[in-house]
Amino acid sequence: MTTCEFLATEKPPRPWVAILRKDLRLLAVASGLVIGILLMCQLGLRLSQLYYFPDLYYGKREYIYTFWFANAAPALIAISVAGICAFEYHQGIQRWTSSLAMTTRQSLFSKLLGWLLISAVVHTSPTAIAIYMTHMDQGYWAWGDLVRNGVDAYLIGLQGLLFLIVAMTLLEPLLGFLVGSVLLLCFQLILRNYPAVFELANQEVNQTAYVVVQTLLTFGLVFASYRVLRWRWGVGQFSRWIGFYRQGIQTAVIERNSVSWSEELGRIGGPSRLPFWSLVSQAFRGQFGLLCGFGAAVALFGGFESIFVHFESLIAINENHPYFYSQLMGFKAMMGFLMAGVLGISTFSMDRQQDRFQFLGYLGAEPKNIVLSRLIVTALPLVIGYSLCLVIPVSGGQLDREMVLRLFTVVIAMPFVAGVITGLIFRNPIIAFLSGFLLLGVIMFTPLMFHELLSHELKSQILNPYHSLVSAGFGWLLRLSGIVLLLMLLVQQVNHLLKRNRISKRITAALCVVFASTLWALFDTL
Amino acid sequence: MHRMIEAHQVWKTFGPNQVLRDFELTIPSGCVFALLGENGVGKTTFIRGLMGYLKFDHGHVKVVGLDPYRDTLALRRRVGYVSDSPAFYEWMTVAETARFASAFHTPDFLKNFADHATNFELPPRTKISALSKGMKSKLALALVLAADPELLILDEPTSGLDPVVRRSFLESMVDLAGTGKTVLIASHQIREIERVADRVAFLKDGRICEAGLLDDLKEDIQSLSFARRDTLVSLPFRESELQLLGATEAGRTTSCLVRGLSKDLVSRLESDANIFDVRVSRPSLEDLYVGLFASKKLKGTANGSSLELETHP
Repeated sequence: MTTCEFLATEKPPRPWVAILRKDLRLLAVASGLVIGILLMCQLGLRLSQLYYFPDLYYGKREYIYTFWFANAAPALIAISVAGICAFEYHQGIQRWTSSLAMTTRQSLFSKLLGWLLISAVVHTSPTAIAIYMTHMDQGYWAWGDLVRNGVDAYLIGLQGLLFLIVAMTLLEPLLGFLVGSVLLLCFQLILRNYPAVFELANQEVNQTAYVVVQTLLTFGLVFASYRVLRWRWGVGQFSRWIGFYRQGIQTAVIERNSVSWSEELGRIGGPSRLPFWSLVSQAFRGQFGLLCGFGAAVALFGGFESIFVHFESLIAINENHPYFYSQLMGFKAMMGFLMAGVLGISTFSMDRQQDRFQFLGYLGAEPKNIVLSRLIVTALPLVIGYSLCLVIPVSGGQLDREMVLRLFTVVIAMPFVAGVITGLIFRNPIIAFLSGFLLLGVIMFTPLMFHELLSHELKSQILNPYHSLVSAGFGWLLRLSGIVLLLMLLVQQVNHLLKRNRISKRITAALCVVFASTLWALFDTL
Repeated sequence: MHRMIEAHQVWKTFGPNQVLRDFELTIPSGCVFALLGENGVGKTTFIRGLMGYLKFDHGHVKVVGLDPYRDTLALRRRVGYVSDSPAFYEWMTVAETARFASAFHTPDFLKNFADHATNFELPPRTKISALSKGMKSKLALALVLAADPELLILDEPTSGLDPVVRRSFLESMVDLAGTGKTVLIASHQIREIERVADRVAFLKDGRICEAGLLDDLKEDIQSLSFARRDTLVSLPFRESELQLLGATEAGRTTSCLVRGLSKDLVSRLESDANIFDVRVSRPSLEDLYVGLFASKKLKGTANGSSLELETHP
């Protein structure tokens, strides 16, 4: 039906139903992102722990991670709720909803209810399962832990909700996110300074708070630094640079002759090194914001980490506790993993999306030089990071070179290479991102597929760490990336078909589910 | 006649900027009232204050007999409002937006919406993010009309609409006023507004500088234009002989809006050797708008001083 006539026969929903339905729909999408973030955290943690504490019982570790990261869910979903509030306020939607006679109280209560419902799904269900499994296995966790940790997780989430909603609504959302996170950190430190006030505190609970606050801060700092620095230096410099060359090229086009582009530019006053070093300079300026953003985030993250370590007595985290250092390393690994992947992907797919290759090619740059210049700029911080890993002692002991090399290969080099390849292939950064992790899976699965051909010695050197990593670390991410990517491609293709053959959307959805299940089964078999 | 909006001695300041100063306005029911003024003069601020979105610093305001800041919810159930940049949930479709809005109105809402949306040719299954600016304006209007409010407040409602829809929409406002509803429109579409508005008010420097029935204003205020051979020679009338509302000078030609123009003064102008091409006409709304907002003073009156622009009626 192309007109709205069918609406005339419909019955209007009740106000609360309409508001709640709307907020839940928004929060359900946001919770997908939260699950993604939690998986990423879990991945970083697992990667580091596999190297540091390989003797820990695998199953038990699984349940502990689920417990910790599920506890972070209410606070992370609070970000989504605050984001929706800020979005409604800053975009002017609130003016429309209030003109419908919707009250602020209704709007806020609905979001609170949505937060509780989604948190219950993302936090309480997996926690309960984890507790049940461990209880059945070894009695590691008692049922009382569910209530105690649940209360703590929801309390932190509620604090985050309060601070973030106020800060993100009153301030610019991104700045508000940062301010709200810092306020939450301060509040947590104060609470832990007075244990009598916060009697629920215990070691595991504090680690939950630690995970929550660090995750909030890390993501807040990355986004805020990136945004600020890109605004301040990245875009402006790039535009000026492009403007300079465009002017030069226009002159060159007018006076076109048989002289090469670089000579032509040299003659009209532009730098004569355009083909390569100018490209490196341009790539550096283009990526400057992103590089600085990551740099600032890592530095500030380190700063907050030291605060936690120095306030050890206040926050009751035992320095000798094995999970503490594994957490620190886990976050570092997560940051490195993200940084390497995002740098590789964003550089190339964004260049393609904005037709920068075409433009630079028009300026006379050779394609291989364009790619090489970007590789140099984006790989440089990764090499510096690797060097730092080699020289700086971590967790009271120097890592051996082989371990660092393995960490570097798995956490930095492989996502970077996968990101570069997919960034070159796909214009869309999201598809490039998902394909990157899928490609990563293929690269890591390959030795497993041919393990029969390898010698016993090689197997013990290669297969064991990779097998552990793949099964413990990348399994979920691969499944997730693969399924989402496949779904996106399928929806895109079937959408195309829909216009021609009129296949119903239900059949499309069923097809997508079948393909997704097949893929899931395939990964499980592998 | 029942008063739909009453505003007395309203003041509003944003930091160092005094947006509304001693603002006075009364709008009776059953009329199409146009609030006109330059950009940034305070139209939207006044409208937001009427809807209770902001609190005035000082003053007494009643909308449909209610205090907009205290009786906000009751007021919004009776008043329809379309902002200058309507914002909706981009991920909802047109039909979903209507369903969502219907939860807050009478059971007839969806039926009314279906009629208006069909007239505006709104695609029900299209997401808001895919709608053009004009279509979004149509959706905003369809939603507000479907609620059948007593008072309709429209802030630049026709921006982005094509001429056919704009005319059709504005004419529908006249029909609405015919049924006893009141419409307050803040707009820059002077020519279109002139076709539908029966009352107008001009907002300048935070105050209403002219207000009343459009026909009365046109009768009361005249458009006078003349050319001077020598612009240094004094004009043949004194400052006190008329009330100058606005004037524009282009070369030798002077055009002005005046109140209290006598036949004697016109004949004096016509007989003056320095002046030629004297024309007196009934101003259009656009003439009134341009005349009131473009000029400052008319130089060279007979007493040797400049004729200062009157800002108060």
